[in-house]
Amino acid sequence: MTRVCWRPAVWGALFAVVSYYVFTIGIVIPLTGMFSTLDPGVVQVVIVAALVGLLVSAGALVVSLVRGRVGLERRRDALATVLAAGACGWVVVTTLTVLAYLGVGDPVQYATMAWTFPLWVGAPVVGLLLVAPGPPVVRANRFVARLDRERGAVTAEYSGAIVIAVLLVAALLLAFGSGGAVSERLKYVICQAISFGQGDCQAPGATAAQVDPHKPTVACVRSTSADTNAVEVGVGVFAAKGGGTVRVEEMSDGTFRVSAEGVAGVGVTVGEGGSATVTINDKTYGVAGEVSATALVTGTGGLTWVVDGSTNATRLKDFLTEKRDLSTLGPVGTVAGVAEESGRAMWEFISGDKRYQPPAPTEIYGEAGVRAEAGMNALAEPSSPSASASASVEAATAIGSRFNFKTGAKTVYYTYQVAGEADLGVDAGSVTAGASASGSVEVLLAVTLDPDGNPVEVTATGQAAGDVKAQVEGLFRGEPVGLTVNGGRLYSASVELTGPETASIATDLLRATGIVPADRNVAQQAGHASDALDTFLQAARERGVVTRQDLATDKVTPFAIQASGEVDGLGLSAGFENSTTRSDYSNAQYLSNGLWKDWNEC
Amino acid sequence: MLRLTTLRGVIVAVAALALVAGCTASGKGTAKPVGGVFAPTGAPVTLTQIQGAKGDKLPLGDGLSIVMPAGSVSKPMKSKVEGNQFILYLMPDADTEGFPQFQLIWGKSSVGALEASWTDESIMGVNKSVSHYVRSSATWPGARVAVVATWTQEDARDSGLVVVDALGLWVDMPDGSKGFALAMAPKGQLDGSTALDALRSLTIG
Repeated sequence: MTRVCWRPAVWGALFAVVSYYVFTIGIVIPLTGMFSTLDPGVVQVVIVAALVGLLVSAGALVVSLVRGRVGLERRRDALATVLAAGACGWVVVTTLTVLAYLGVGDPVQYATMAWTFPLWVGAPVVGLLLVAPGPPVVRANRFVARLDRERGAVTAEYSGAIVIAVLLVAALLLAFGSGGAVSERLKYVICQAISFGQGDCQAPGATAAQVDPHKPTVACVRSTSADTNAVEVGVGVFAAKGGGTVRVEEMSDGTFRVSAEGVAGVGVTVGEGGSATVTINDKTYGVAGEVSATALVTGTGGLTWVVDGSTNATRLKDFLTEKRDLSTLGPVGTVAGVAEESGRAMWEFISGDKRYQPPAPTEIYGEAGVRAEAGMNALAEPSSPSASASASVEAATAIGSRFNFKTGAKTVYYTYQVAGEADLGVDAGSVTAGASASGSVEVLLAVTLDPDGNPVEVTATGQAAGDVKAQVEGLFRGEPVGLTVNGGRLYSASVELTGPETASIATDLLRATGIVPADRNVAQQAGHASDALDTFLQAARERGVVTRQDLATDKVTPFAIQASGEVDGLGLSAGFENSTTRSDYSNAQYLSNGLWKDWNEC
Repeated sequence: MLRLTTLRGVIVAVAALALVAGCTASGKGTAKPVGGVFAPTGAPVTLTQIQGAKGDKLPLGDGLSIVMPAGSVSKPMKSKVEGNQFILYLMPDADTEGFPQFQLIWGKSSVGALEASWTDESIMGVNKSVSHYVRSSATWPGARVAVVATWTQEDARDSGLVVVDALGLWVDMPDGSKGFALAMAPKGQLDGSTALDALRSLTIG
């Protein structure tokens, strides 16, 4: 019999869909953290094998049901039913997946989903081999028989249909109600139910004024992986340093920041109107432009691309890494590079496929290097601690700059040290044992200016590490604390200069640290700087955004001229290393009315 | 008469050969490149080294040496970066504000002269007390890469407004270390100043 038995087919499809989601949502997602530590190839094989096993089981179930109902003379009699079950399951899962993609705003991977069709249809066919042909045996398998007997069958079918309908409706709500009134109402109802009406639930239709103004609206860095590959090339008495770094930062909004620095052969040119092109090995990509001589890049400065989704990030990272790897191989790399280009071009010609072209870079950045410490005011000494405030601040040192091609905004990074405890808001007696209250805190100031050179935002960042954890926590939170966090913590306080008061406070801080000219000498400015920092942080707590994130990295180094980039959220760069450095951020929180609240979007 | 497949093969071979030979087509856009962003934008300058300068030749280590006139006062500065050397020299004719003045800082750094000077230009560009900043490529004996920048800077001090002309020299040295020399003198007095002569006496290797 080659016709489709729809009841077994529906049961098989339902089994496949439910088990698929139980496996992916219930097992794979919770174990993502563990998977990230394993070989990606092994993980992929294990996941695919498990899915195939589930689909084979679904096929066997279908065959068993067919045999129980009408008997099975030959295995191929159940083939049509098995294929129908697989196809039905694929349609349901694909539909839900498309709706989910649309719901979260990600591009739908139609091609990838199409590739799964053979798996869904083919794997259950293997189930034919697991069930022997035979006459109808109603109670041959009591579990299967229970599934197949008529009693309650209609109820079961309705239940299955209801489950699918609910899933579809839920997906529709996610897809079309994201951020809208429906999903907000659902969130509100669930929040109220879970907290028995006592939770801090955001009511639907709440106005903007009711949204916590202290909650960050920008994306945060979730993790960073710096794939570095330094090569020391000895030529006579010279020691030239080649290689470079390609770094990928995962942001909480689904974008990725891919940075390349010290990648030989990678340069950038600026065209009319500020448009940018990338020149790689004397070929120009991105925005159309003429080929030009490649800029000499030795480090530490580089380019940053902001791309959507991990697929684009991976392609760009692979592209840059490949260039880096080839460039560090010397003559061998050159030959390989030519061969690669030739092969690609030939394939392009034969197949009509276009080779990958990286987009135009978003930003360019650089570090000041040894020059940072020299300057007109190098002789000025930091202020001496006074009787009233046993803290001193030195003039800020400019350590780096970043320019955004698209917005024209420039961010300049300064670092300066605050030593002592009085102005750090920390009472030595309240600090936990082991946390010194006398260490100095290095603060990084990022000043963002619009294309006209007007400051539009000031961000102060501090890293809690080593002996100064408590100081930094107290500094940013504004009150004495006992801090027992393991590892490092990154604190950030920012104020948008949208009003005259915040502009005045921020400008005062910039003047006090010598960043903008003041009508007093640097020593006096420095003495004023700790007060100005306190005032600025107070303004951030009241009108700006203060965040903190736990930081797990194999490099927990307080800011220094050369080390600032090791905390990757700052956007500066790390030095060349012969290793892969990964930094993971967790427990993101923001300060709201004196309380740390979870920053769930981060 | 060539068959189509043969013609295609010939085209592929020619294309491959062109690639191997480094022949590439240029883009068709209208944007006009103005050079690498890290590259200096000012016209190349000639900054000549003073051979056999008069004064005390001071070996600084790491292959560096300078010649300082008698009466100069050196003030070793504490660098934040371990291993970096930072010396500030007050010249014998320095005024009460310390100018002319010469500063030299060198050490291991991964930041090359081009990138460091690009960053400096970017930072100085937002500094309201700095004007006439020009960054140019240069050559310096013994240096793999050299960049020069000149600017005018003012600073409000107790004694009043101090305005200086400055010249900075970035050098990437053969051993991979980096150096920065800075000569400053009261506005209009940098040329021929003792500070600039000290900078021009810098010897690598």
